[in-house]
Amino acid sequence: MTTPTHAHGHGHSHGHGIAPVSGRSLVTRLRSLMPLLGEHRRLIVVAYLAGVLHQLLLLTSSGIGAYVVARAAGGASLDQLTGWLIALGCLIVPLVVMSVADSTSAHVAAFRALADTRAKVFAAFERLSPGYMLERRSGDLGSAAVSDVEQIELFFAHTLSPLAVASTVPVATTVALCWFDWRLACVLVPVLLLLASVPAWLRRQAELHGHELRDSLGRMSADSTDTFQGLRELVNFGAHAQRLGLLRGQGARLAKAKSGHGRRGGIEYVATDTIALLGILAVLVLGARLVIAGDLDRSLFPVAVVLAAMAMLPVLKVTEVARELSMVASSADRITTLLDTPAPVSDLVSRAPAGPVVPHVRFDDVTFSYRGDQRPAVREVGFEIRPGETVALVGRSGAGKSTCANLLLRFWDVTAGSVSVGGHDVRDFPQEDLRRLMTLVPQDTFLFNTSLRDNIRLGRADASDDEVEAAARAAQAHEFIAALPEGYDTVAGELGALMSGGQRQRIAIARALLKDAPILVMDEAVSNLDAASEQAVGQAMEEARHGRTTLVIAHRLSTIRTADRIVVIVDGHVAETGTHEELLAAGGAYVELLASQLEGFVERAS
Amino acid sequence: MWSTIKLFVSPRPRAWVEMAGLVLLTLLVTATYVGQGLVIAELLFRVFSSVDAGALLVSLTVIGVLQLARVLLVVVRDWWAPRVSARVKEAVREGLTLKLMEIGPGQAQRMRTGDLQSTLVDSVELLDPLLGRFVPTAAASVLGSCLASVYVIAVDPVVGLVVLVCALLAPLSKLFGEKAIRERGSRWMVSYRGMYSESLDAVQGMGTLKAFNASGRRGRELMERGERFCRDSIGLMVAWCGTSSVAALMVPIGTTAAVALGSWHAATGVVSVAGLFTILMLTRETFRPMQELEAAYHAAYHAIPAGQAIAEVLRLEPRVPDAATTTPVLRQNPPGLEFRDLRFCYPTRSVPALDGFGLTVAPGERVAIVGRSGAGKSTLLGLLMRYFDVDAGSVRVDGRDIREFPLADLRSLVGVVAQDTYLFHGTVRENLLLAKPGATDEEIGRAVSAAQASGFIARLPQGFDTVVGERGLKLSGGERQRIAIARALLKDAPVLVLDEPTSSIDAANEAEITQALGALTRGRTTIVIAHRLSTVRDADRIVVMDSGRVAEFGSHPDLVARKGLYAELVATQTGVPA
Repeated sequence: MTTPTHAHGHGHSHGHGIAPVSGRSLVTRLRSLMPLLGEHRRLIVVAYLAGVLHQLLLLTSSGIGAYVVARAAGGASLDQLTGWLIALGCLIVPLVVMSVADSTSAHVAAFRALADTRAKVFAAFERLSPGYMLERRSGDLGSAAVSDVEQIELFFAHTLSPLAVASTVPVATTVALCWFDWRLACVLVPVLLLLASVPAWLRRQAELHGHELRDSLGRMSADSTDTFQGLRELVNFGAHAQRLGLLRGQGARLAKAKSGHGRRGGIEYVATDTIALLGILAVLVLGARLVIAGDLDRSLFPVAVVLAAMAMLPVLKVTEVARELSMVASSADRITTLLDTPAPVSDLVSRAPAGPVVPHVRFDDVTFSYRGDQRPAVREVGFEIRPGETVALVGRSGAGKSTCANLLLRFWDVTAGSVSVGGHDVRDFPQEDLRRLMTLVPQDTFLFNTSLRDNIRLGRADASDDEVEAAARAAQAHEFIAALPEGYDTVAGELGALMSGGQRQRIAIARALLKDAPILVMDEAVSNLDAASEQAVGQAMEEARHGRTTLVIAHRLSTIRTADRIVVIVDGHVAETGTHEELLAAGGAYVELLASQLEGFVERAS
Repeated sequence: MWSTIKLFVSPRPRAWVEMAGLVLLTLLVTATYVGQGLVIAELLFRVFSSVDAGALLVSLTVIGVLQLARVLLVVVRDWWAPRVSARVKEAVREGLTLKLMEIGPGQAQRMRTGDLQSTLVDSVELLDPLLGRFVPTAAASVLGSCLASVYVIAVDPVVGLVVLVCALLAPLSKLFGEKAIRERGSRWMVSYRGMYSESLDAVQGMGTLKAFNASGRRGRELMERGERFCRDSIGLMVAWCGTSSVAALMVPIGTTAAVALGSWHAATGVVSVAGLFTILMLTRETFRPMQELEAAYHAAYHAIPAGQAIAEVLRLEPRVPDAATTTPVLRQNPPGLEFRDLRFCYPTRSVPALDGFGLTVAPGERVAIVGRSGAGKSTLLGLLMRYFDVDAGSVRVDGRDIREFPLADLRSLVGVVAQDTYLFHGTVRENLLLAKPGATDEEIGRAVSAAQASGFIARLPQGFDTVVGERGLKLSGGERQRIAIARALLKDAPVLVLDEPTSSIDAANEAEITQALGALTRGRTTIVIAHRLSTVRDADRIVVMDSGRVAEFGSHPDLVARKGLYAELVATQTGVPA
């Protein structure tokens, strides 16, 4: 599915991470959006009917206008025309009403469909995370969730019903012209068909431009984000000029892409404009001959010309929208790819095993490789954590420690072997039940942009304010939260970098305490805290571990030493297992790994 | 709207001229339509009055020439319009970037990434339809309508004026609804940006949400936001359609009036038959520019709230004024540092971060600062770099208050290795060149090997030309830190601040980093904010901070012997009671 356009992405561009470039036709790609319309299809039908009526009223009133002028030119008195003029006046209000009804119902349908699509996209993210996210830039994902969905508005609100109208109204016009003289219709039909084909002429170029445009927009977006997030570095190095130069380069690229897009749009516009003119002229010339030959009533001649011109309008409107459709199709690709990606894990059962589950965790010969990776991330890993016990996983970064934790939480399924809880394979639980048994304190605590109180309450939605505070106290987080001017109501996003790693961790621990699950999975942060923070976090962890089966991915000696057992992982494999003292005495991988920390410890102990 | 447009174009006055060029092109396009209408009216008249049809060919040729001219004009216009707005966008984007750098990380830290990103990118892009299309079309359509109506007026003044008034009333009717549209437009924008940030938030934190079985709840909240956004979108659209329909009424009213009046005047002999056909054809041409204006307005109306978002950022006042213009010459190199009775409180906090902090660092001295988190250690760096200005007291470099240095010069004096190093999307080399744009390969090589980074860089697939990912995530913490050290070596600043430089490195990598840091600190006045004993012990002096002031200081053995706060910190870290 990889095409040349994919290759120049360098993994940097906006959308390339999500959807492969499609070789399918524009129509097929857009049609995949139809299911997203769902029940709002009905509103689109209303829009279509209003649109057709609007166009027919427009045709009628233009025709009548031309007829009145022709009759007046032919010397008719005003009295003879009064009826026609009144009819013309009566058409004004319905004309406007239909036009408003058309665009209102199409837009309402579109906005509703977009809201539904957003829900589906969110559900897809939920299904696919966290595996899917780890492989992609977060900017891409935000963009998929919002911008791509916004993009398809053009399809729902401005394409569907105009397209249907454009294929109905010209037929009506042709029939009307047939009634004047069949030859007039014969001249007009090929012109209409030619007109409709214009967007297909430059389709390849359109797609290319669409991609270039998205690509350069994506780069611009990434570099702007970089500028903001790396502001401290830029300011420290006084790199203003350098950065501006870079942004200027991206700006030029983007401008070039826009200009190419604009030029193609211009060419398409003049092509349709020229064809439409040819159509009018053809009817004009033929009509003139028919009038001279006496085959066509003179008063109907201007009517025929005006009708021919009006027949083109809906088609012109669609070709105008079609210019932007390649952009919509790329968004459609990304959305449908996202929605169609199968979940890395799915519920195999609908009910959890009966009876209480003993929090006894076992890894039996577990082997796992990430999608597309040749080398397994962990192979034949085996260890157990008895109820209430703490096991520390120790190893260099990338050794496979976090993979073990993710397999226990069932973010992925094992390739071989089995992970079990209380004697039941984790795949024998519905995901929701499994995760109710466990709580996670991740390495990097993600704080949502809500109040600290709500951030802690994530652990248990129905916890009272007192319970939240009690959890925070137990996690040694109450003191610093209470010191903030707005206390628990402080919005996390506004704190930003002002919150230290240790403080974030303690909030994560408070969350975990509030959840009160029998199994605790802790991914200790690599970053070293200052001694006092470390002590506070240590105390909080102690509190969290109390009475729980705990798997901790540990980096710090102080944590490691308190574990009941230590599993040393080297290159995805269990190298050693034992207590701190046993491993110290063995003098193997464990000692090598912790040399620098042990040095301090050994020195002070001696 | 007008003031927003003026704000954007002000850094680039030539854009007015260029937009005038676009207006001219658009007017010429309108002229070709008017010409075509006149010729077709003429043709209709001839056929109608059975005048010799032989002259048909001439008319058709004229139409062909007009069409050819229009083709050229439109192609040139559509190619040129994005360039005109691109230059303005470039100026606006540079203005925004410079503004960010001017306010600096201290003030910018409090803005949300999602908001800022949508301002920096999406809002700026919306200037295309605003400046490239709407502004020129607005001028051209009014002039175009007048142009087309001139012919009608010449034929029949009454009809011409009625048509012109109807055409001009169409856009004016927008003014009645403008307030509603503006209000709903800004509500829409707020709603959109909220949804954007929230989505980003949820997607980034999805792992956490899932682990807590909270994604459903969060999803529902997002759906509510989505629903609100949907309602705001519909609200805006209805206001829009409402005002548009008033404008849309003008077209059939004008046309009907023209037909009725024209027919009446023809019947009474005021207007000739040829004139009647001119009225028929040109009435439509009078309305055409106004319909184009409507379309251009529709394309540009999101740009109005977006423009306000940009304007807000551009109008931010930096809290740290850059008043000094001349660079004082250093009396000593490396210079000494002095923190004199500092008091500072973050805008969001009630408890001061620094409360009477005082410290003098001699030239070339290496001072370590330790203390629990929140004791104010990192605040010292923020004040030295002037991300913030002190509330009271002063920071002195080389005996001078840092406010006497131009900001750029002050910051060029200080090299920083922080606990988390930001790597920009780009190659390893580009990231290194940030510190010294003109550095030779030899200089880079020297810095990299002193930073103990040459080994892992050589092992990268494309060596120095390897692209590091978003936020440099493809490199490990230790690797990023060594790049940061190499950067600091390249910058070669006389003062150095190491802000917990080994904190995000696992134990196995620490020895290499410590060695690299040793190379870096030689011959510089250094402040190390640290907690690892290995880093702290080598310092000339250790300062222990507590509650924003100095609690104790001395050498490692002195402080251990004192059995004070330091000894306590050491004990908790090793897990062995002192």
